[in-house]
Amino acid sequence: MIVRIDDKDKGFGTKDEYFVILNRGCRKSDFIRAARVVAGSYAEELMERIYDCLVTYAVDIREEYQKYYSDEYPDLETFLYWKYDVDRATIAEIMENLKAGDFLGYGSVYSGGDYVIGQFTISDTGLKMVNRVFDKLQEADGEDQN
Amino acid sequence: MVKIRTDFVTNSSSTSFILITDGDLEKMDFFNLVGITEESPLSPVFEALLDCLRAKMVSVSEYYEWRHAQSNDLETLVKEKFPGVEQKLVEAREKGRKVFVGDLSSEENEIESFFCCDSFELENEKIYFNALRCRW
Repeated sequence: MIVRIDDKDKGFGTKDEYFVILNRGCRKSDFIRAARVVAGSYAEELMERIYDCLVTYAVDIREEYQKYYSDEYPDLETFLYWKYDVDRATIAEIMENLKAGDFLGYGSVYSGGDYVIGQFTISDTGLKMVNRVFDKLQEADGEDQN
Repeated sequence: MVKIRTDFVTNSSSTSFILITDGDLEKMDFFNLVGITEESPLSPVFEALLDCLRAKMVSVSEYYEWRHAQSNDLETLVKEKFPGVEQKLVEAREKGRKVFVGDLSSEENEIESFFCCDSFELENEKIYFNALRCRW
């Protein structure tokens, strides 16, 4: 799932920043499969660009915390609060959805340089679409586990 | 006092498109062209694009009647607006296919704005859709 951090009431973040929660085993091909697009099509290319925009260039927050900050901050929540200036409600939302094996990424949708896809991905409409793909991914994960 | 904008500075854009079809622009033909299935999480977005195209496309002759009332050399006009597509226009006429043109705007909504700013040319056996002429 994508958690956008541009809430003006919270007073932090900019319009292009987000957190992404994804099963660490999920590859670009899984993401594309969940989107039910045809191989070699424009829609497939679109999903590749969205995946790159959200995942490929995102900072691995868990790795960053473990490698460089675990002495300084007692847990991930505290790290997010002080290092990333994330409010308590958003941290709670992230922690509620974050499972042990998940990747927690942080980034700007413009990091990869695809401005057009970045702008759409972080829009209300684009985000709804992307989170529908993440829902399908979760359904597929659930089916695999059963 | 000076105002400093820290976000991206944007202006409006528009993209001219040309669509060649065997008949009316049918939903499943369009979905096949872009490569999605009906159960795809992307389908509401492409359905909205389809609605937008249907609302904005006009027959090529009608389009040029509005804009170039003095000229009736359609191929030259198409060549100017969609370079490289004139041969497709000739073939389409020979085969009795329908040719539509229109403009997408970045000012309408998020979906139209995205497809307006993206650049693509798609073709299958039923539809040719060219939206390469983007003016940022």
